[in-house]
Amino acid sequence: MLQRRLERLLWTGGALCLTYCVCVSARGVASRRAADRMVQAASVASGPAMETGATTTETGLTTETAAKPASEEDEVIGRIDIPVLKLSAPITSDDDPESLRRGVGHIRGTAMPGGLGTAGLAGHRDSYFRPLRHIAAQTQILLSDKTGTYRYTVDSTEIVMPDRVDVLAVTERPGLTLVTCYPFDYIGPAPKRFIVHAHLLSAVPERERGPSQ
Amino acid sequence: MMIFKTWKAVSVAMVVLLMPVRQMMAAGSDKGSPFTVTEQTAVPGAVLAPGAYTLHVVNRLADRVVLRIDGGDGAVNTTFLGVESKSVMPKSSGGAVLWNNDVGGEKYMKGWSFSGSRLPVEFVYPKDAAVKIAQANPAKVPAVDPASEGKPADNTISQNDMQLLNLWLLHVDRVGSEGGGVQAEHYMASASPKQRPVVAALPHTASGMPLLWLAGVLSMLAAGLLRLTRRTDDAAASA
Repeated sequence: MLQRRLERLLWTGGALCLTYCVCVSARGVASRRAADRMVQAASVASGPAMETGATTTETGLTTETAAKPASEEDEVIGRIDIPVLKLSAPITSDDDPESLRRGVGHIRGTAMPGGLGTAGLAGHRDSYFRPLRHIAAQTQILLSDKTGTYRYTVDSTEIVMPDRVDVLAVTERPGLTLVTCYPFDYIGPAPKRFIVHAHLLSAVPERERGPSQ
Repeated sequence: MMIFKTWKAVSVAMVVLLMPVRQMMAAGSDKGSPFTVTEQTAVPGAVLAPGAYTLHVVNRLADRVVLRIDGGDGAVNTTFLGVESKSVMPKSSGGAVLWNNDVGGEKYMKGWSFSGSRLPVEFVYPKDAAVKIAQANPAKVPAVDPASEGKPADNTISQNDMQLLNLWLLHVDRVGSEGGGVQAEHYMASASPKQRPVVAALPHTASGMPLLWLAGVLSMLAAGLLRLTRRTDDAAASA
C-alpha cells in the first residue's frame, strides 16, 4: 500500500516538474519567434519608423505613435546572434527571473542595443548563454532590434564576483557587456560571473550603412 | 570682539545678498541673444523656419551648458545641451555658426559664438541627427542618446536628466581598421561628473531548470522502477 502511494507521488511529482519545464521551453520558443518577427520586419521595412509607427523628425527626435504591440512582442526587444557559436536568443526587456527564462535579459539602466553607452545583457549559463564558454576575442556579436542590426566585436572576457558592477560602466566607446554565471558546470547558484566585453563597430545600423562607410 | 561680530554680520548679509545674483547668473537670467534665420535651419529638437528667435543660456554646468531657443511667435521652444568648444569659429560680433555642409539639403546650426571672451558653444544633437551631420561633415559631432539611457527623446526631458546624460562625439571613420562606419567616443571633460553604477549587483543568471528536468526524469524513472518491482512481486505472489 505504501509502495503504491509512493509510486503515485513520484509519477505526479515527475509529471509536474516536466510539465513546468515544457511550459517554460514553450514560452522561450514563443519569445524566439517574436524576436525573429521583429528582426524580419526591421529588415523588410524601408526605415526604422515603419514597423512601430514611430516618426523621426528632421532633427533626429523619435516620437512613438505606434499601436501597442502584442504582449509577447512587448517583452521582446530584439535578438542576439553569435554566428560562430551558433548562439541565437531573444532579448527581453528586463533581467528578472521570468524574463531570463524566456530569453537573454536587458539589464535595466544600461544602454539599448546599438545605443551610445554600454548595453548589458544577462543570460542563463545552462540555456541561452551556454555557448559563451567558447567565446574568444574578435568574435562578432550581432544585436538586432526594430531599428536594425548592430555589430559588436569581442575585446576580452573576465571572471568577477557579482558585486563588480563596474563591468557595466560606460567606457570611452559604446560597448556591450554579456553576463552569465560561472563556473559553467556548477550545480545550483554559481558564485561568480563570466563577463564578455565587446565594442560597437558603427553607431549606424548595418542596413542603413551606405557603401561609402 | 564687537568689530569681529559686526564684520561677521556684514559678511553674512553680503553672502545672502549676492547669492540670488549668482543663482540668477547660473540659471541663465540673461535676456538672451536675438538672431534671425533667413532660411530653414535645424537646431537640436526643432527646425527653425525663417524668422526671429532668441537663444538663452539657461544653465552652465561643470562640463555642459543648457540652452534654449524660443521665438517664431511662440511656435518654437526647444531646450538642449551645448558644450564649450574651440571647433566653433568665433565671430567678432557673436552669433550663430552653421555646419559647413548641409544635411539632406537642410542647414544645421553648429553652435553659437558669444561676443567677448566667452568660449563658443557647440550644440549637442540627438544621435540620429548627429549621425547625419557626421556623415555630411568631416568633424566630430557632439551627441546624446537619451532614448538609450531610458530618458525621453523629445523636448520633455528635464534639466536634471540633461545633467546626467552621457555626451559623445560621433565621426565617420572611412579608413579605420574596423571597416569604417560612424564611430563614437565618450566625451569626458575634466569636470565631467563621475558616473554612478546602474545596478547594485550583477543579475542572478543561474536557473533551476536543469535541476527540475533532472528531478522530473529521476522521479518518473523511480516511479517506473517501483511499478516494475510491484508487478514482479505480484506475479511471484500469484504464482
